[in-house]
Amino acid sequence: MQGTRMLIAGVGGAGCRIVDSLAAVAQSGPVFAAISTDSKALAGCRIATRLKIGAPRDGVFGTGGDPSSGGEAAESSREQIERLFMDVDLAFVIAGLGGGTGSGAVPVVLDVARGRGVMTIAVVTMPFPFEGQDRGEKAKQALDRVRQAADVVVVIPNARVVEDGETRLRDAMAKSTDIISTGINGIWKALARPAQLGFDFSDLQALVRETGGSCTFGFGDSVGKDRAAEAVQALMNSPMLARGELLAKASALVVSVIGGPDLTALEAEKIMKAVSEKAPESAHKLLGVMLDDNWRSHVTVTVMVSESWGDVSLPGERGAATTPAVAEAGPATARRRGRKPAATQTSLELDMIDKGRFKGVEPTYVDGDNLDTPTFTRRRISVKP
Amino acid sequence: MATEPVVALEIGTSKVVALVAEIREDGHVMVTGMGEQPSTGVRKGEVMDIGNAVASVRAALSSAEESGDVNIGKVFLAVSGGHVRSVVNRGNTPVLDPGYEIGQATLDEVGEVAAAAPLPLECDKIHTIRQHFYIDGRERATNPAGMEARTLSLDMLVVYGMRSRLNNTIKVVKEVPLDVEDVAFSGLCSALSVLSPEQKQGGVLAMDMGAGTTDFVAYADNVLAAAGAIGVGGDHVTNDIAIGMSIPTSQAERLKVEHGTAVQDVSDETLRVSIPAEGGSPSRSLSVKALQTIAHARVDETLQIVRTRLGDLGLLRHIGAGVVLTGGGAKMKGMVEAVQNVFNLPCSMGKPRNISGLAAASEGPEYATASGLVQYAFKVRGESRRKQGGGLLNWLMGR
Repeated sequence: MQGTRMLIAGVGGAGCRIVDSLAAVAQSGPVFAAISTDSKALAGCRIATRLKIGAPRDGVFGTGGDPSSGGEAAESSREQIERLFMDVDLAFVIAGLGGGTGSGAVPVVLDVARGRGVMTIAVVTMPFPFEGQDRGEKAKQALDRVRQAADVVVVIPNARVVEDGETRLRDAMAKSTDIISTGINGIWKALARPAQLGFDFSDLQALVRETGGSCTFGFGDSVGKDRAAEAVQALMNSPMLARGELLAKASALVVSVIGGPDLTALEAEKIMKAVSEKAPESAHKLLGVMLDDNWRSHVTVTVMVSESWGDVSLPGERGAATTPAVAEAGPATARRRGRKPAATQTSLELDMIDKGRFKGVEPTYVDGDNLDTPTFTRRRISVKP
Repeated sequence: MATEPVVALEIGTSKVVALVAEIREDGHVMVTGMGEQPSTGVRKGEVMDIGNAVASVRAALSSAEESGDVNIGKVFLAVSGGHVRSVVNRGNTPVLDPGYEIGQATLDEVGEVAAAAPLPLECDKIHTIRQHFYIDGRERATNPAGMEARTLSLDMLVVYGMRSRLNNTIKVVKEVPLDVEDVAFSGLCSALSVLSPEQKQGGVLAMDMGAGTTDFVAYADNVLAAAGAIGVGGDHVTNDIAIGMSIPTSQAERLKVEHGTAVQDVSDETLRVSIPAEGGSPSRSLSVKALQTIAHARVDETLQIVRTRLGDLGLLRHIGAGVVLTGGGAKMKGMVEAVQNVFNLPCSMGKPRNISGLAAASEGPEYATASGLVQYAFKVRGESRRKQGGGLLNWLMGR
């Protein structure tokens, strides 16, 4: 799926930090943006698109941890936020929940994106336990709202990022940022690149939807001769997946392998097999292999697993894990919300047939429509020559 | 000769046009040379094949040199493409003068702040154009110099595009090899060429319908309020016809020119047109109604997209003077009516103003961009002479 235009937006202090470090690794591809109420936090970001939300009077200090003021700030800057999502197909919205801006503004940002027909993946972190019950409560409430506003939610409990009591606070924060940016890197690459063996956003959405809309991820990577086995080993050791425990319980999983041009079919197969074996046989699986010229001699395996997250599932979604296999769930049944533009799958098929004069030219997208496809086809006007 | 002649170059999707022009004492522009070539290597306003594009540009320039009897060393270049966008950025600055009087330093400062709009990654500014000043965030002022205020604000329209695409077009000129004196957005050039001061005052939408792109700029309240381009043009109509009718593109193009209309006007559903055999496909007869349905759908959609863009910015009710069309696509039968239907505003064909010399350049809507670029070029030269290439040029032109 070439030409998926992606925006990776960080909201609030933690979100901006993560986006900043993501932008530092990714050479090209998605557009990065930092959104915050705190102009100091924005000033610390090295990426080009920085949006300060809220009234100037809210000043340099942010929201003071109050989600409702974060929400108001975002509401008052709706127009500017909307501009960010112009001509975007897919957006990652990243934030740390528990504070003011992240918790309050993210639902609004997601809503704006939705309004422009953008598919959204919210990647949110839950606060460390030592941050106190208050933040934990706020984060849970915010997660509920995020769940309603995003197409896919990836939840990362910070508690899982650090091994028991080993790390200093400053390191814990840095590590959380690091892990999350690596994980997102794996996912966006999987969705952005024409995969050799792949899935696209609608597959992902169907899978996640089926399991209740939320998931978490882990990854492992390695270089050198035994990289395939080592990467899998690293994945299994990752605290993010509770050392493989979550994998063993997963009802659905997405495995993406990124390797260089030197990745062999055997290696890819080995990884896929090793990871699949760890999950229950009944689990629905999506597998993708991406080749990246910059990944020579390197292999990264990223796994997203479904995780029912506490009691935050939306009404009517419980027990959804028993629905039929993904392969049978067409786009119509997979999509819960009727408001979205018609399934991306359809336009994909059309792309392949009707490029004509515009073959090899970057397609013109407006509001999710590929305008190089004849209008009469998209408007379903029948023409009898 | 009053001034050094300027050379305006437009590397369009369907044609490359080069105009050589001089300005007279009274400000009137005379076109003294012209070159035109069918364009190759350009799609949707963007250069796809530098080698082919260079060849077309060389041919157009050499005939412009010949007819204008000049040696061309540098050009003003029009740029377009669906990536061109605009955004209004407000800059605020405190007035540091002890008596709170707005001086040149404050004006320079606010201009710089307003021009520094945050842009998406990998984008460059093409123009930064002043809209209105505000005194202490409230009162609007056209020329605040000497006024008293605590803070001065300025709204700046920043027109920008993707760096790589802009550079590709510039690269073509460098390969020729020639120097680029300045670049300008095609849509703005067309508007400069055809709009009257009264239209700008009343609020107007200038739309240039090219083969590869539909460029637009809107004036409201006598300032440039928005600019942009959509990567859809006459080529799309042709392509739609080719696909819908299952005929080669060359035949589709001919059908479009001869029978295409922007509105459906056939009462006789059975009317058919025959096309000759070509390239292995047998001769056939095709329904004119089907042809018009296809063309209408595309035109209507494109106009709707422009309308939505302006609507999102709240500009629709500010364009009282209506819509002015330029570009080869505007020549399609029924286009004025189609625009009126979609925008519910008066619509007319644009005619290049204040320019004379060559009939083609001063009359055809498809030469509006090139002739507007000539006018833009003289404007830039005038500004730079007055300011000696100082700050003003920088923030007027954004480079």
